Amino acid sequence: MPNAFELKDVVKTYPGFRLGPLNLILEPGTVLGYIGPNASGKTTTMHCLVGLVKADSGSMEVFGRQTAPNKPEWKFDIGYVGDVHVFYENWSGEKNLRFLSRFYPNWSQALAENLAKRFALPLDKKARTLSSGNRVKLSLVGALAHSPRLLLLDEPTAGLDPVVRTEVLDALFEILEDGERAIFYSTHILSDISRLADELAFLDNGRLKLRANKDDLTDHWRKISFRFSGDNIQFDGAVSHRQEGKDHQVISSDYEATLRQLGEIGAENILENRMSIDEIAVHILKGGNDVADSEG
Amino acid sequence: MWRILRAEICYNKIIVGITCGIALFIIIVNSVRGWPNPTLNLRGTKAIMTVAVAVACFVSFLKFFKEKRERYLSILPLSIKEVGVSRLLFMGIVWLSLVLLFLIGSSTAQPYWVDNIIWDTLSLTGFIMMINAYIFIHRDLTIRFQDRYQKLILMILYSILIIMGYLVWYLLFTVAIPYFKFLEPLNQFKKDFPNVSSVAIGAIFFNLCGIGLTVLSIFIFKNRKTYLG
Repeated sequence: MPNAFELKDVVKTYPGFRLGPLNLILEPGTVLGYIGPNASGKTTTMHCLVGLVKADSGSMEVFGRQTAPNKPEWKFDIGYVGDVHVFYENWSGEKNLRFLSRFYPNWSQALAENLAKRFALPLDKKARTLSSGNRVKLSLVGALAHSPRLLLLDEPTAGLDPVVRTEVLDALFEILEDGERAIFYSTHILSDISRLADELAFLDNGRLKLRANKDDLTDHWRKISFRFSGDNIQFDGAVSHRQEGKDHQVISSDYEATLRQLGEIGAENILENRMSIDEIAVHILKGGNDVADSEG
Repeated sequence: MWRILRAEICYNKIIVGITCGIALFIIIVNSVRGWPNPTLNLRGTKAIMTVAVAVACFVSFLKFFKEKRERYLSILPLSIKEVGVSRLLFMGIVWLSLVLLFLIGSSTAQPYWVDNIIWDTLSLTGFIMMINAYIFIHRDLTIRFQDRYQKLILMILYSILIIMGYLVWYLLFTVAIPYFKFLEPLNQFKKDFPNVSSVAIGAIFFNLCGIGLTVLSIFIFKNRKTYLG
């Protein structure tokens, strides 16, 4: 079975910003969280994938089909929700969905209505009168009702207040937890996706810094503090190292290697703490070299 | 393409209805009162039709751009060419509806006048096609050229096009025609130019320009680097 998508050496340049060369593959059925700070290139990647922006170079495939602008069949497999939700504003949600249904052979009106019910979305209201949360929900229903094999979610909850955001995410994750589709979810708020993601890709300043299995990250990363009198030691697996006198604190991406080394050099009072995925993300995005080539 | 067009007409049905209503009203009034003298060339009627179409299209384009319709449509499984063509068709359909009403109405009332007004109407159709295509070309170019220097380049490009147009006109009539006999019929075009819209060659000229700009508009749209609207 072909990959859900495959980006090869994709480059997109704007004045003062360059995305790529980006190589990224998403296997069918995998949920990949695309994590990065604002202006790191997440949205540009999404726009390239969905055909809203043309990449300067490189190639993109969706389920084995080139993303050619004049052969739009690859878009049948995509459900896309961006950070901007566009509709026929003077039409009701129902009419907007009916309009969309004409373009997708797999569209299920029953599924659309069912999703709207689960989201508690008032379909009879005009799009322009919908609240921000309901606009997101309407976009989600539009993106899901044709049962796409690939769902691209680009910070869909951006701009929502925390209560509405949680409500939208809860409903969304409840629907997506069946694991039937590949999901590419970009966000700078890691907690939004950490519940659902199988893998995480970290993007910073247009470069992919790391792609890793979520569980591998939480299993291997540790915050380790210890006492040791030596200076200028390189610790195995250390991503960062702080020292105050004899007290050291190391963030390790391979805690077993670090602990082994600490045992060998005779470090004392060794304490290791598991790290949350948010803490790990901060360390990945804050420093270090690109590791994407070796990881993914 | 037709799905988009149908949606646009349905979405703008009030303004399209008003526009067609105005045309119908003029036709009914003219039919009841008797159509004006053919020498008047029905300029008033056509002016009202043109303004009605302009208003209808202004309102619909305003919504089209404000609601980021290009972005909406570009996400759908449609080729970019289809989106580009469907944008252009809305004004064409509204205009053709009016022209049809106008021609049917006027020919029913005074059949022999259709010959008098056909070239004028066709010229106007070509002219409207040009304006329609120009609106989208200008929009696409301003999206393409966004920073200050690029805007300057765009201004220079427009100026060059105007100068080129004048040069083509000058070279054609003062240099080319005396040398190439087969171009001589164009002298008639030059002679008739003040009333060019009322003759066959004028209608052909405006429609060719309209088609040319329409093709150019589709080409520019297809080659846009972004459809974010």
